[in-house]
Amino acid sequence: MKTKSVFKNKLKHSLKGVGYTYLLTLVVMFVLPVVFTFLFTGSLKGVSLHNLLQNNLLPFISVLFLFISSYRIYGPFKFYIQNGISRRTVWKATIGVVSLCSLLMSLINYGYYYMVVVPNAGNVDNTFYNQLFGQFLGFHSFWNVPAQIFYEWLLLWSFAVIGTFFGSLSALFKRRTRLIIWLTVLIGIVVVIRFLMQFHTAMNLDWTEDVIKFLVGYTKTDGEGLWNPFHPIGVMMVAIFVGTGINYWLQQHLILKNQ
Amino acid sequence: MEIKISEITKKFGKKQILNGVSLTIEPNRIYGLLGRNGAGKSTLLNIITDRIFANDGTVTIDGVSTHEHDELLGKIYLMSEVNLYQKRVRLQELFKASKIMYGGFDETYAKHLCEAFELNPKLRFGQLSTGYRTIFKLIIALCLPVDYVFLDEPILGLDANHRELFYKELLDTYSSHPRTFVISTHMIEEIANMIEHVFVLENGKILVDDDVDHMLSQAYVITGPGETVDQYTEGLNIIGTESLGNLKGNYVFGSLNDDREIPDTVQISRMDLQKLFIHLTSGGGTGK
Repeated sequence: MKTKSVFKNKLKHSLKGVGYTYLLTLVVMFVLPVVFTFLFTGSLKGVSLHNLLQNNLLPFISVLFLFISSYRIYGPFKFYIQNGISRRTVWKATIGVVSLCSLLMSLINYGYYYMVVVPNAGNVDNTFYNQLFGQFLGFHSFWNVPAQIFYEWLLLWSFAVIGTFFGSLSALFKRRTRLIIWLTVLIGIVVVIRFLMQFHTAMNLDWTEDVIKFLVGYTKTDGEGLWNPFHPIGVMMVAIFVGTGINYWLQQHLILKNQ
Repeated sequence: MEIKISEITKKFGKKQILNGVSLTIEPNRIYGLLGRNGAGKSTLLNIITDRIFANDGTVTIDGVSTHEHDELLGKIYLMSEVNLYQKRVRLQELFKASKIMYGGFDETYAKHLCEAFELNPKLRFGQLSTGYRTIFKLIIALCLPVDYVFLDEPILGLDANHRELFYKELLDTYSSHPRTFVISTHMIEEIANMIEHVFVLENGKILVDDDVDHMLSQAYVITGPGETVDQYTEGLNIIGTESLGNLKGNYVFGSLNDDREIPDTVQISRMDLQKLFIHLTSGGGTGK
């Protein structure tokens, strides 16, 4: 009962966010190029609708939106707690909303790409999925449609889970501690990369390469698009499941702060 | 339907905040939850409403644990000092959202309160001053269809006029629609006439759990010449003492042993709740 109320309330806000995001993206995709062309050339000669319709920022923007909106979990979280909703219910409703929004965005992106971008780009289909996995189920196979939508759905959902993870983790700390932690993590990453760049030749890293190849579904072949999509799909499903569990644990430890 | 708090223990790091707190909150009564700064009042209220979790002990309503229980948590509202409402959202939208979450909200009464407190519901929460944020939260607390309302520092930032108005509205809504209020405040004098029962927390333990009338009926100030007062109060539970020259006042909590003759120079008068609280919590005596 309460899960349904929270779900509906959260979904309403998320759909509003999705709507505004797509609207803003379309403005960026169509209006900005026109404005810049006019500003820099003084005319609109180089601009054509045909060219503008070949732009596709939607998948990138979807990832960004889901990551950022999931990162900002603390605001809604404390609001629901204030309103007598248990942490578990907030967590459950969030899973529902995030999965639904990811699916919706995946469908919109798919529809936009094949109905707008591809016809205007001379029917050249070069999505990330098609380039890596497009031939695995057969180039003209019907199953490429659901597989591609499913793949993008899981990819978007994974970013949302990662966003929630970092958002929950951040909310555990005070602002200053949070800043120190993020800076330490960033410096740590730079140090590790620098270390690996300097010493990787002396290290046996073949196993990491094998693991990564397995995770992304790499298959040794000369042809394009023959990687196995079920590997990354499986990996993303496991990651979402485990990540959602970790997020539950983190949210059980959130403290309500006056900020 | 009562809230039963049993053996609640809470530690933050190594610091023990609550230590085996047990009490019962009955329906349709007004309680005062009193304690000095850091006594653990807010922590206890947060545990009751499942906002933080106890290390040990349980909170139940009619025998069912409130932990992660939406239906039971939906019967409770905690108005706390901490601002948990999103700053960018308009008050009228927050009213609507609260209605959805709690399954009801007295909009007519909310409108009346907004007018009485001169609060514009079209403002965003972040635009409000400390006092008006308190007022907004009080309006929500008084308009929700809950059985238990916990008010943690409900007059934070309120001027005298708004405090008076709040007390009046609280009593009005309580008489028209009885439910339980638990008020945690340091302004004891202002709520003394309102509360029926009092819990006093001291060092993470319940020091007093008693009806106000019964408590005050055992609270006396014995004044007179120092020596006579000391003789008269010998063996009684003296919780505090004040002296002015030769005159002395002993604060006694408990039975006076009325069979004895009262010396002519000794005066016995009643103590008010605030004085009683001050002396009980300043380490001068025992509350039990």
